[in-house]
Amino acid sequence: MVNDDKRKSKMTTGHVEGATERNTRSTSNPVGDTRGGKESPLPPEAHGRIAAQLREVYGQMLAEPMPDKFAQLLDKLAQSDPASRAKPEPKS
Amino acid sequence: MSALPQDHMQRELAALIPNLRAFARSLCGAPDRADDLVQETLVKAWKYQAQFAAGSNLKAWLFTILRNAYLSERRKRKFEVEDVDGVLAESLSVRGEQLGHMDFLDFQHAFARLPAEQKEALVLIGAEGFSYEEAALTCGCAVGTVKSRVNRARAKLAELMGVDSAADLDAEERVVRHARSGA
Repeated sequence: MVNDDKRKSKMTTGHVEGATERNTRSTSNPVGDTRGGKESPLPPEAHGRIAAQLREVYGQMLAEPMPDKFAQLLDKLAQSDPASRAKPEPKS
Repeated sequence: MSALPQDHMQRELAALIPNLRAFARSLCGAPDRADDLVQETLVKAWKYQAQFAAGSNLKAWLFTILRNAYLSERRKRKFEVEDVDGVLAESLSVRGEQLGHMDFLDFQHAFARLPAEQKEALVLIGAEGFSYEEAALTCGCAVGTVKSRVNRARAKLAELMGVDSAADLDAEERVVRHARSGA
């Protein structure tokens, strides 16, 4: 992943070694370093924050007002000729 | 296998449009393109409704149609990842102002940088509440693949949002600002 790539590039360029060491030492479960573990690679706090923000942002999109065009499209489809619909199990 | 009665199908489709729009927006970012995808999905779902088994998961079926349409369109247009992100970053900055919360802006910019397969896995599991099995069926991949994509998505978001390290956030923000000012 990009995180790993970034660490690698940090290490090869050498000028941010301190930051890399600090990450490894100060975080009990730094991202990327426990890949392959059974549990989520994130600390619970980070996991919770990301989960909450995802739900919040997605919830806002769900709550957006719906343009009329969708209901109109469904009405149009409902009035369309049933013969224009595919038969059960068509070859695809 | 029996199809849903037609008026029932129409009601069920109408009820799921908000989910389809949110899922489409998560994938492609640009609201206009997302709505085009939803309309294409509705047309296809209507046309092939006889293939849908009543009682099975209509939302998962529709999401499969939508993500396949999205991926197929992306292949056709040969979108560059950077282009997609640029469009998304623009559309999301407006939403961020509405929220008035720095964390959301950060989250959305970070989310926009995820690869499509990680976006869909994370949204299905983390926002839509799909089981890993349902998500695997929807995305046409193995359960283990979904789990790994979700974990990688979360790890990448944590990195981009600086949840695990403030130094990482600063670096990423500079990259994002640089990219946006150059666009």
